[in-house]
Amino acid sequence: MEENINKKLLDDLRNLPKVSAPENFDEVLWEKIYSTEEKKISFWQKIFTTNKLIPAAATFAAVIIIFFLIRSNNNEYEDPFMIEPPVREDIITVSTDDVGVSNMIEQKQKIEQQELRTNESERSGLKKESAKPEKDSSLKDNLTEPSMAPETLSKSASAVNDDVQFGIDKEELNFLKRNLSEQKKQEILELKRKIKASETPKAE
Amino acid sequence: MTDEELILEFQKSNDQRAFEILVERFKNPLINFVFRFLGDYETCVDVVQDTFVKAYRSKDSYSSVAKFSTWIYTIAGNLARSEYRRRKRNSFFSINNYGEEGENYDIPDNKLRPDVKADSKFKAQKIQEALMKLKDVYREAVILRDIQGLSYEEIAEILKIEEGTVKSRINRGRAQLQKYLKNIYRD
Repeated sequence: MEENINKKLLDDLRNLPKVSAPENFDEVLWEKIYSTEEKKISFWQKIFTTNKLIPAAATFAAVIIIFFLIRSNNNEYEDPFMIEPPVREDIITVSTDDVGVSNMIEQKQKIEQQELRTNESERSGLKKESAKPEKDSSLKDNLTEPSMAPETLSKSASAVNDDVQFGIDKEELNFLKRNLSEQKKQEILELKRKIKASETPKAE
Repeated sequence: MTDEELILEFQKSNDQRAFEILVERFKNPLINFVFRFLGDYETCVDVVQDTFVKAYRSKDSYSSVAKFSTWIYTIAGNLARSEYRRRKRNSFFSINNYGEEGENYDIPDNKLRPDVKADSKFKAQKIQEALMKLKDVYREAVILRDIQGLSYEEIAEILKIEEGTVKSRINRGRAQLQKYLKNIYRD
């Protein structure tokens, strides 16, 4: 590309008249050097110069003005905490009519009383029913007496069950049933007697 | 003593004589470079003085690995660029207030007035005007290469760009320059 450039232009550029420094160049230079050495301004002095303070103060003032302008505009709007909350229509009708409110309360009280009565009657009916098992409890106490035979126990238990009318037989229960021979039964009875005999002296 | 030895001497023993020698060696090349870049003599003198002041004050930031010339040219280039941008901003506001929108105005150069009659001076003025029309990145590269006569490597180091980029910038700059000066260089 350099070939396309006119050589004359390059020569003229090279031979342009050289500009030289003025005669007092060195003097002014040393003056500048010494003056800058003397003027070693501190950091705070640099910051608090009038050139920097004026724009800073102007900016600060502008910010304050803008802040107050915005603040004053805000006062025109309603404070959301001061606005009354929206009220439902049905509540409004009740609240405006005091008679209606008292009627409603009376009706509610009546309903509650009726409910209480019905509950009490139901409870009393249940108590009557629960009185029968109390009678049966005496039978149960009798059952626990050791003098009674197992056959009578089963009979009395069945009687209790009949009275309570639970309708559950012993056979229906999922007990383990064992068919013992006569001999084994006698052995068990003897063992029971022995146990009783051993218990009676201790009690005495 | 070489430039590097002088600056090291100045770094170590704060020898102001060493610094004075460096100023003597580099003030004219830097003035030439900055003047061609900015197109204003008074401003360029100020910029070069500021360059030396900066070099004096931050002498410790110079590393012996680099050449002194590239270091001082980098400082001068940075200052010249920031000055050019500042002037551009100011000229935009000041000139556009008087002119029509979209119309470009060249800031008049007091040192190279159009009333100069000599051909060489006239040509130099036209070249300077054309240089000022170039984009600053192209202008800087062209000045450093074709006016200051620095190597591509040195320019790459000064501008902190790749050598390939330097070459392309120089070529583009030259092409644009030729386009602007087509009335002078017709053949």
